Amino acid sequence: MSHCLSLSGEATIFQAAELHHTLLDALAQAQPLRVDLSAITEFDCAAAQLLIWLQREGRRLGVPLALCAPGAPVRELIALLGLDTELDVEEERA
Amino acid sequence: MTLDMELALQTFFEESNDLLGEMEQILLEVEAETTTPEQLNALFRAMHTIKGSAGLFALDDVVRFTHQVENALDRLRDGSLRLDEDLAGLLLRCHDHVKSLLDALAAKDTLPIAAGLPLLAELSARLDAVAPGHGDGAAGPTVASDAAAPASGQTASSWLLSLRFGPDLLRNGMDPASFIRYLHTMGRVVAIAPVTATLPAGADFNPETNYLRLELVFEGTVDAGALWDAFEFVREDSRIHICPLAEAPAQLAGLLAEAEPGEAEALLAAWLRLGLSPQAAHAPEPAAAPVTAVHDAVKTAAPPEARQPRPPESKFIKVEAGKLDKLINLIGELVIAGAAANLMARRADQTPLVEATLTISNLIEQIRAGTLSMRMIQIGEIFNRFPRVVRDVSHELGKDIQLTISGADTELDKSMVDKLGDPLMHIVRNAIDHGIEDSAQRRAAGKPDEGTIWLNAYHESGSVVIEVADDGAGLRRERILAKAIERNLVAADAALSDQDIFKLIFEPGFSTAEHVTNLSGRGVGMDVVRKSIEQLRGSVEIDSEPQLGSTFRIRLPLTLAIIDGFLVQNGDATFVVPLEAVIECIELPPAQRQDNGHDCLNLRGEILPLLHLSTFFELGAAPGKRQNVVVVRFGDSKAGLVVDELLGEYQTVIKPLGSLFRHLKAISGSTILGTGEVALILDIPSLIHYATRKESERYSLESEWGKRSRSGG
Repeated sequence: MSHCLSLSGEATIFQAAELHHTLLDALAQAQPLRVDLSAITEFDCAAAQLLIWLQREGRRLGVPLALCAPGAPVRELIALLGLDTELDVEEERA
Repeated sequence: MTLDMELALQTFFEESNDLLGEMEQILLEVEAETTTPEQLNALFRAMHTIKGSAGLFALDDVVRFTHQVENALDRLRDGSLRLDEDLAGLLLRCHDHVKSLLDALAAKDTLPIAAGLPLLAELSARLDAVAPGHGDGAAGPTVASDAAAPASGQTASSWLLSLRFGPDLLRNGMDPASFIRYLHTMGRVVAIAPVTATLPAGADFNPETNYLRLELVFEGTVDAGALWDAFEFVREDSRIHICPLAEAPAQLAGLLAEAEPGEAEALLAAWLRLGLSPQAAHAPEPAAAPVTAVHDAVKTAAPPEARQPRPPESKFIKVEAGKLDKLINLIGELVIAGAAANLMARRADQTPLVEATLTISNLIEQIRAGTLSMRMIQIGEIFNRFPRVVRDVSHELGKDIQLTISGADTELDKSMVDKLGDPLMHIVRNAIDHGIEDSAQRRAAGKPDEGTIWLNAYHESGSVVIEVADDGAGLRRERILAKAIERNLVAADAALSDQDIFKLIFEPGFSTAEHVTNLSGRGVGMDVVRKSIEQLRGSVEIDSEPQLGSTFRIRLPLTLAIIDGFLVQNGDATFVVPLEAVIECIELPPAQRQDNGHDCLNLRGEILPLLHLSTFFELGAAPGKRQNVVVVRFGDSKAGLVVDELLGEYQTVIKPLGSLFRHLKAISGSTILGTGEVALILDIPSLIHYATRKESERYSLESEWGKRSRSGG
C-alpha cells in the first residue's frame, strides 16, 4: 500500500530543515510515497528545491514517488519559475 | 583594522544611531497622525544613508538588510505602498534589527542575522502584495506602469538574464522568486528556464542552500541600469549576467565557461528552451565589447550613489565626556582659587585688588555657568524612548495606552540623564503593567478604555522634578501594608502615613503583583530604582489615589559638580547649605531659645520643626549670643536649622566624602573654602526628614515613640 504524506501550512526557508527531515523519514520507509501539496499555504524556492531533491532521491533509491494536488501557492511558484520541467506534479488528489 | 578605520567606524555608529533615533521618532509620530512626504523622505534618507555608509565599510550584512528596508521605504515614498499601523510596526522592528546589528558590530559580537530573516520575509511579502496592483495600476509615473501599457511597447527591449544565485541566498532571507516577481512589475518575463543541475543527491543536499539557477528572457522598457538595480543586492554573492537578447549568443560561451561543474549541459538545454541557439554561442560577435562596457559603466555608476553626501553638517560638536569632566574639575579649582584671591585682597585691604578679583570671579562665574550648561541636556533625550516602550509593552499586554509627555525641554546634567534611563524605564513599565488596568476593569470603574501615562519634567527650587503618572487603579495601600507586615518589614501595629506605606514598595524583594509577568519582576526591582536615584542625590515620592491613579515623583539636583551654597557657622564649624534649599533666614526669637523641649517655631501660623545643628552634630560649643534659623525646604516639607552665624552665599565645589563617611546621613559632601578650611555640605533632605519625623513622633503613641526614636536618627 502506498504511504501518503500531506504537507500543510507554510513551506518556506524557515521550515526547510524540518521538512527535509520529514521527507527523509518518509523516504526511509521505502514504499510508494504520495505527497499531497494541497494544504500548503506558502511556498518558496527553498521548498521547491526540496521537492526537486525529493523526486530525484525517490528515483535514486527506487522509491516510487508522486507529488500531487498542488494548491495555488505551489502552482503559482511553478509557473513563475518555469519549474514544470523540473517537477513532476500530478493534478489529482491522492 | 587600522586606527583610522576604527575612528571612522565609530563615527558611522554614532551617525547611524542618530539616524535610527530620527527614524524611530518619525515612525512613532506617523502612527499617531497622517504622514507627510517630508517624513517619508526622512525615513528613506535614514535607511539610505546607513546602507551607503555600511557599504563603505563593507558591512555586507547590514547593507543586505537595510537595502530591503530602503526598498520598502522607497515604495512608501513614491506612494505605491501605504504606511499603515502594521507596516509602521514592521518598520519599527526593522529599525530594532538594524540597531542590534550595529550594536553587535560595535561590540564585535556575532551578528544576529537570523533575527532579520522573518523581517525580510515580511517586508518582501509586503512589497509583493503591492506589486501586481502596481503593474496594472493607472497611477504612478513608474517604469512598471509604462511597461504594462501596450502603447509604449515599441520601445521595449529584450534581455537575457542569467541568474546564478549564490548558495547563501535563501539563508539570507531572500527568495529567488521575489526577484522574478519584481521583474514582472518592470515588464514581461517572456520565457524562463530553471537550472537545477548543481542540486546534489542524497545526504549532500542542504535544504537551506540555494541550488537554483534561472535563465530567462525579459522584455520591457528598461535599460541595463534598472535591471542591474533589481539585483543590486545579490550582485556580490551571485553571478548575475544581463545582456540584450540580440547580443546574447556572443555571451553564451563565456557563461558556459563560468558555469559550475556539471551545469553546462543543463544550461545549454535551458537556453534551447528559451529559444537561444547554442551553436550561435560560438559565433564571433563584435557587439560583445560594448555590452561589457555598459555593464562596467553600470558597475562603476552604482557605488557613488551609495556615497551620497550626508545632509548638511549638524550644529553640534561631539565632545568626549571625559574632556568635559576634566574641564569642570578645573573650573571647580578655579572657583576655589578665585575665592581665595578675593579673600586675600580683602584682608590686604587693597580696594583696586578687591575690584580686580571681583571682576575675575564674575568671569569665573560665567565660565562655570557656561561649562555646566554644556553638560546639560534636555531630558527629552530619555523621554523620547518612552513612546516606543509604551507602544510595545501595551501591545504586548493588549492594553490601550496613550503617553503624554510634557516638559521634555527641561535640562538636566548629562551624567544624570544617562543614569536615569533605567529607573525611569522601570517605573514606566511598572505603570503600564500594574498601574493601568485592562479595558474591562477600566470600563467597570467608569474610566475611558484608553489609559494614559504622563511623563512630565520641570524645575522646582533648584531641583529637577520628573513625574511619571498614570490614571490606573492606584497603589493598593492595604495590600502593601499586609505584605510588608508578612515580610516583617514593619511592625503589625505600626501607624504609618500613606506616604510611608507607598515607600515600602521600594524595599528589596517587594512585589504585590498577583502574577509576575515577563515585564516586571525581571530582576530589577523597585529597590534598585530607589538606589539608583539616591545615588544621584535624588529622592522618589509616590502619590496615589485609589481608582484615580498614582504619581511617582523623582526629585534630582540640577547638577552634581558645583552648587551655590549658603555658608553658616556653628561655633568653629562651618557648614554649607545648598542655596536652592534655603527659603529664608530669621532670627530665633529669644523666647524660643530657652525652650529646647519643644523644638518648634510658629512661622506665620505654620509649624516649623527646628533642628539645632550644635546639638545634632554634638559640637559642644556654647551657643552664640544670637541664634538664627535658616528655613530650608525639600519637596513639600520644611524645617528650620538653628545656627549661630550666617556667613552668606558661597560657590561650592562639591568634593565627595571618602568611602569611610559614605554612610553619614546628614552630610552629602565637603568643600574647601577660600581660606583652605574644609566645610561640610549638609544633606538637607535627610535633615528635614529627621526633623519632621522627630516632631511627628512626639505626637504619636507613647509606645511607638519609644520604639522608633531608638531606631531613628
